[in-house]
Amino acid sequence: MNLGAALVDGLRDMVAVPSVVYALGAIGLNIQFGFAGLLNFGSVASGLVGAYGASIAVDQGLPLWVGVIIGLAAAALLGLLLGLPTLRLRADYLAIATISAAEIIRVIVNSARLQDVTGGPIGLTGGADDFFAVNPIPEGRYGWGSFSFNQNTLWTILVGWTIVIVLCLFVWGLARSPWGRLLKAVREDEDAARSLGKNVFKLKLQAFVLGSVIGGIAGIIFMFDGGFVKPDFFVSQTTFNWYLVVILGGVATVLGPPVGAIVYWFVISVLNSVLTQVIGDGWWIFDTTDTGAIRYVLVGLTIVLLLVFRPQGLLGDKDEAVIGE
Amino acid sequence: MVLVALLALVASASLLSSLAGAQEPNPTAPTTTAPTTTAPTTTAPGGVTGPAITTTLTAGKGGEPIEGVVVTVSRDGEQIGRATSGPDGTLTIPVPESGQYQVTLDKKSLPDGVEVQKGAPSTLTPFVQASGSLPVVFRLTEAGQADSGGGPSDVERLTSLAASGIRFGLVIALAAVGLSLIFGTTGLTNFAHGELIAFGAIVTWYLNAPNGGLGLPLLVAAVGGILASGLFGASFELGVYRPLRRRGMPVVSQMVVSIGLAFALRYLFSIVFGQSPQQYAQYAAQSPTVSLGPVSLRPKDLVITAVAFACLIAIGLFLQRARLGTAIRAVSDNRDLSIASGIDDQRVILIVWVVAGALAGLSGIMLASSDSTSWNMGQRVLLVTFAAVVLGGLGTTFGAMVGGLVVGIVSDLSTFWLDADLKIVVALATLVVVLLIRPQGIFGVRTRTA
Repeated sequence: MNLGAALVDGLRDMVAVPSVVYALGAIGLNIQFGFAGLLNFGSVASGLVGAYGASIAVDQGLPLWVGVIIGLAAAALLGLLLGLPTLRLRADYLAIATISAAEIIRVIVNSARLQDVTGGPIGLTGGADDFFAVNPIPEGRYGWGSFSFNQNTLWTILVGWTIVIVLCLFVWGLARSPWGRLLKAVREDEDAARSLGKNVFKLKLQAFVLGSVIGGIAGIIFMFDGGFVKPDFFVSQTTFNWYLVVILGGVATVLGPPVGAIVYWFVISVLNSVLTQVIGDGWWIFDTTDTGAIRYVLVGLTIVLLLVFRPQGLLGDKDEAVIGE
Repeated sequence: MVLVALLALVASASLLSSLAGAQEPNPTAPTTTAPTTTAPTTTAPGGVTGPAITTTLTAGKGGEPIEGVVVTVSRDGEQIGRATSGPDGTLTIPVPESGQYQVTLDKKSLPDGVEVQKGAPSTLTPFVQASGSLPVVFRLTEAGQADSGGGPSDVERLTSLAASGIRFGLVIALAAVGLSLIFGTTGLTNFAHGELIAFGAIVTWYLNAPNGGLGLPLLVAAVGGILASGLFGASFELGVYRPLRRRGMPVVSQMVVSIGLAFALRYLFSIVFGQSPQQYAQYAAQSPTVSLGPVSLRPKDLVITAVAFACLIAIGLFLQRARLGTAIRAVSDNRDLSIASGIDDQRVILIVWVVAGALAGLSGIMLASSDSTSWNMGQRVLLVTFAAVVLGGLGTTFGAMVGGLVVGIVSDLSTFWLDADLKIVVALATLVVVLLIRPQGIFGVRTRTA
């Protein structure tokens, strides 16, 4: 077995674009689920709306920067439309309503009827052309061996992680602001906050919309990865991967989401590499196509075991663990 | 030859359905396209040896071939192949390996006067096996022709859609009742319920299949499958949720645990059972339909509808009349009070899990026998099941039954006007609308927020 190659794969994937997308998606989710305690099981829909908003705008002939604004505005609108009626619901109803809404949006975008606008199942390409056009990095491959990226991927990675850092600083500031303290108070005891005269609903809605916009950014960065969008990425599995990232990193922590994303992609990638080598053309009950499935089995088990044995994740504070015991 | 064509129709229809309860095309249905006499054979034309997708595009009563239509094949959003139909209307697109592909017909390339049949999809998602070519069928029609000619009338289509909606709704209601009972007694919304559904269907397949299974008759295998899923439900309670409750884990965290559990189990099924859908040994082929007034049904669908209905009545009577049923309702109603009056709530909850598991398994077996068994069949109906439960009101058993029926009928009837792949959207939209207007459901009682 070539462990070295597996480690290189892991190191590459922990900084690559999917890791950025997961970090951003998890930052958005962490604001909703971690700080505000809102169980959004459809957070991937914000990414979809962001990515498609930008792509469709570009496809219709608008410049990318307008598309990005449209995408983020659409994500904010989604948060508002979804949040306004659902945030008064109980946690379980909110979860069911949000996962349903996300599925509805994905199936509609996937529908062949809308092929002229959304590209249907094939999706839209070309949305990222303007972004690559302003790439200052000269053409070529950068890195060593299989740890290397072409100029466009490297450009996306650099921009993506910069946004992650900026957003982490923003969340760090928010968590220390009166607004952030109030949000935590609402999460811990809604009635107490309400009895102090605070508008709990408005606060939740603000957190929900903010998380949705950050999810929209995640979707747009996802579009920059291949230069195209497709509905398949925005399935509810992705939402639950983001949950794992948030819980792994530490719920309601500032650095939890990026740390969770980096660890997630390192482990998943090394594991994938090792499994592909071990299973090869088939071993015991496994065949070649099972490596992806094994990975998801482990994702599921890790969610369960983390919640049971380490609900605060890697960085969380046991006393402030908002989930688990 | 005709048989091959019918099987191809059935196979493509059952694969393209995004929901397990999809309407399969009736052999007497308006097959203005489906060239039953010139069916694409399983040996690919053009000397393609690897897996491939083939289709023959025809329209009109005589099945005239349509030339120059563009069809693309993609997977995971990446285009894999593209072909234009030849003078005989056929085209073949080779694919690299077995797996699920999306076959899209470019409507703009259709000649004037020819269109995709109303309600029929222009994108199919067939599962291609590793060897041979898979024929898919696009239903095309000449403009204006759909309303005239031999097809069933609108009334007949509506009634048969309603019949299939009732069957699907009753089957979903079986699973929904269990989900609702679990919620009522423990407060948990079990996102791993879909895996209970799939487990019943898969165990039954292993007991029933002549190759790779025990080869038992389907009815015997189904009993085994139901018992196994009851035990599986019990293992959820004893192995996972009871210890978590003892640790004092909040319900919201338990919900996230159930997501993780669903994930792990679903992909475990895909490893053990494999990724291709399988059919039960008996009742797999089309059999003559039974006519009930304007509705014609396959006999197995009639049996499924009747059994599901009988089971729901039995569950209702059990909850209303039996001592144990009363205890279950007592625990749902007020746990503390029921403990104080001497009910062993932990035992009641365990029984609820067994009953819920068995019902989910039964519903899975029914879904699988009207369609096919697959590793992710539970996930595909999970949200519809939630819709049924929420529609009726979480925790209310009769609500779950009515909710199932409403969701089934509304979503199946919607295919009269909408594409079949939008069926799930209609079901979920019903759910969201109900949540917005009446969050406690049709039969639920408005409760204080916790």
